[in-house]
Amino acid sequence: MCHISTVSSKVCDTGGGKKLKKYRKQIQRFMENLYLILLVTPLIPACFTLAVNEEGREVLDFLYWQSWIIAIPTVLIEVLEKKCKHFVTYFALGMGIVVLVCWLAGLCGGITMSGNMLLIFQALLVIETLAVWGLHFHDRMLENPKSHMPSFAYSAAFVIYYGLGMLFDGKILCDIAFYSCILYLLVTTVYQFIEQTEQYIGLNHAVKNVPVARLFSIGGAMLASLLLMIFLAMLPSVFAAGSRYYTDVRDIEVEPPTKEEGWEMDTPQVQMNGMSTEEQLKLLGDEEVKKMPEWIENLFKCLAYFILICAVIMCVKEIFQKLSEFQKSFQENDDVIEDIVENKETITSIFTRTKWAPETEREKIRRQYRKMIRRYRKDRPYEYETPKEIEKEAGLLDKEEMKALHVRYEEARYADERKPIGHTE
Amino acid sequence: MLSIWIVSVLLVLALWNLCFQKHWDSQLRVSATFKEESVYAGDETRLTEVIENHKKMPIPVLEVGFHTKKELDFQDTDNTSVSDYLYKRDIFSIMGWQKITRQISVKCKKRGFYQIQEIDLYTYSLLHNKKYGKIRTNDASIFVYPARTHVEDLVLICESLSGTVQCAKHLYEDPFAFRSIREYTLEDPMKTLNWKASAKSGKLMVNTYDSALIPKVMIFLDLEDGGILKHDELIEESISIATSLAGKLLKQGMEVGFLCNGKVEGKEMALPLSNQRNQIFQLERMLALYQATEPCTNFDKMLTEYHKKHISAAEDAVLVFISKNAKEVYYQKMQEMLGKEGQGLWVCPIEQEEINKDRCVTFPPSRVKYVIRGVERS
Repeated sequence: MCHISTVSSKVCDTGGGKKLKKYRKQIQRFMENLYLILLVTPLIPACFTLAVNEEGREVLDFLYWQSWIIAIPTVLIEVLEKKCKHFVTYFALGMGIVVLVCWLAGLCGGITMSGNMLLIFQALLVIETLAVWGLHFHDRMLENPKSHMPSFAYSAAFVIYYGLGMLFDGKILCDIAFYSCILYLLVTTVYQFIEQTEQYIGLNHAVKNVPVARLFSIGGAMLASLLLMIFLAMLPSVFAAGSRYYTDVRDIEVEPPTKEEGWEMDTPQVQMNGMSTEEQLKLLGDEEVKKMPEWIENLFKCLAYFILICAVIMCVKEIFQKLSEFQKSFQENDDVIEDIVENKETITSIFTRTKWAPETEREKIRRQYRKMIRRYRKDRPYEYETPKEIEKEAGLLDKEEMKALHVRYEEARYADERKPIGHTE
Repeated sequence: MLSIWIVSVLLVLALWNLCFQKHWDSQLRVSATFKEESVYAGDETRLTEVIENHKKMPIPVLEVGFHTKKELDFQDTDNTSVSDYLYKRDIFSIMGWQKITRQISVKCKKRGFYQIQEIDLYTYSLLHNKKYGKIRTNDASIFVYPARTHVEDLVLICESLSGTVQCAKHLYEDPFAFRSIREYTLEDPMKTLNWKASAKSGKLMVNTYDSALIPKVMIFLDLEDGGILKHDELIEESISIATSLAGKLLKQGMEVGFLCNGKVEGKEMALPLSNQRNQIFQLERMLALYQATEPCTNFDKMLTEYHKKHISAAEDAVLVFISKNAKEVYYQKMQEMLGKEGQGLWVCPIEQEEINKDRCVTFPPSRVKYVIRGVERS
């Protein structure tokens, strides 16, 4: 049995819809820039992984973060496109941005690199800047540009980066590709959700009373739940990152390394005459460390997963709770929105009701009545006997305690199950 | 590792989509109902759409669509498209364990019986790349009765035609048809004293009774619309006149009967003389169900058959003929039905244009009183 709770949404919002739309546009613009940056930044570490040897790979970590300089021209070029109307000014300012990038690359790259490496780094950044500029210019020429929209298809680039890292012994490149891919997927999913929903609303612009805010809020909450589940699902791959098998295709025909001659470590001379091997090992501190049993390790892993799952479920519940509160304070059309609340007392599901489930008020009263009767009457009452007849047979008809319990029992048994015991109209 | 990650993501997405596909419409109740069971043509009513989601899974986009006859005018016409039917579509977004109620104003332009028997439900996946649909049955219907029109002049004519009966009405009382209680006057017989009412009020009170003589009116409605050019507005006006006149006469306690040459679901449209409460209800409902596509019998033939069966009734009742077809044959037939002492009325709806151009047919004065009713073309 379900009953409907009262309506709580009162305020009609007309101006908030425009603010929310503006906010969505800003988020989309930010994501368009971020997707481009994510795609382009691993390029320089990939080139260095292919080109440099092991000695040069120490700087790859810093190199990736230095590559984020590309974010500056990406944003500046977008601003340039919006503000600049004349081609000459546009071109001149664009070249200025290229020069700026070159200078910044020299400044930041000079911290960790020098000589040819620094020059190559600057050159690659300039090439990336020109590529981004070219892409924006191309979109400007088109009526309906789509190349600036994040797409799931472009995530193949990260697979390529990852593959290169695996084939050229580039652990850092593999990590960059892996985590960038995760972030890219998150960005693309959110972007596509906003874009497709906006498109849907645009197609139905003639339909009245479309609940735009509800569309985005409910869809957004479901999307957040989905992303949390994806986050849970990707954890095994994150934990398995340490067991990657790297190769270097450039060293395939290299002769196997020769066995090196043994060397001795300078250790202090200790008198160990007359001692057993175990005592000697103990003295040297070389005793074998006991490994943790596998079942304990698995147990800890399961516990970690369980805690994560609980955290995700709580996050999802909290998201929907906040969403529900937000919707109650915001109404964009004349629809009457009500919550359907289950009446827990009347649910009699066999699968959910257990022996140890808490008793309802009615069940408590019935149990007390049953106990009272059984105390004074040994035989089982018949189905056709009324409560009064049962009490008479038990000899409890005149007892005050029984009279009070009788009234409560009648109410528990026959009153409207939707109303609590003792409710009077 | 990337491959594990890709596989796990794809698995989660596949499970998510599968779960949504299987369960989006479970525990989802959708209904569309009209506020009233019946209205008159030209009146407004409300259509209530109720969506109930009895599960935890929210539905971000839910399209609810239905179709009905195009004579129903929904006020928010932006959501509708009109071709052979009127197709309406609304968009909702509903959380788990929630109920949404939307009310839409509807103007019922034309008489008829309107139903919403099916509701189409559509939803989309999160990224709108997949569309899922279901059809649900619905049981919503509304009768739009013929529009009311002014018939006071016709009522007066009917009353004057049944004048002798009206005068004799007060002489013959029906002791079984109790009407009211009033104070005693010297003219009242002692047998009519109501002692209980007198004791309660402290004054002598008497019972009054309805007359045993009840005026009768028989309405004959002609819905035949032959010829190439159709006159829908004249037919509608004829129907409106018949129902409005019957309603007014029944309110005055007269017995009203009805006969029509049209058919509803193959059955003849006829009501015997009666002044029961549901007489007007049956008449209005019958005429609301009538559709012009049904074939009509010849009016002359219908009158002939009736005259053969109910010669005595024709003499007692005032006969009212409502027909837009001003034919000499009908006029002769009506006179024949009325006989030597009967009185009748013929209401002929004609386009106002024809009246203005003085092109309408007239008949010489006789026991059939011929009344022209001008109708504006819409």
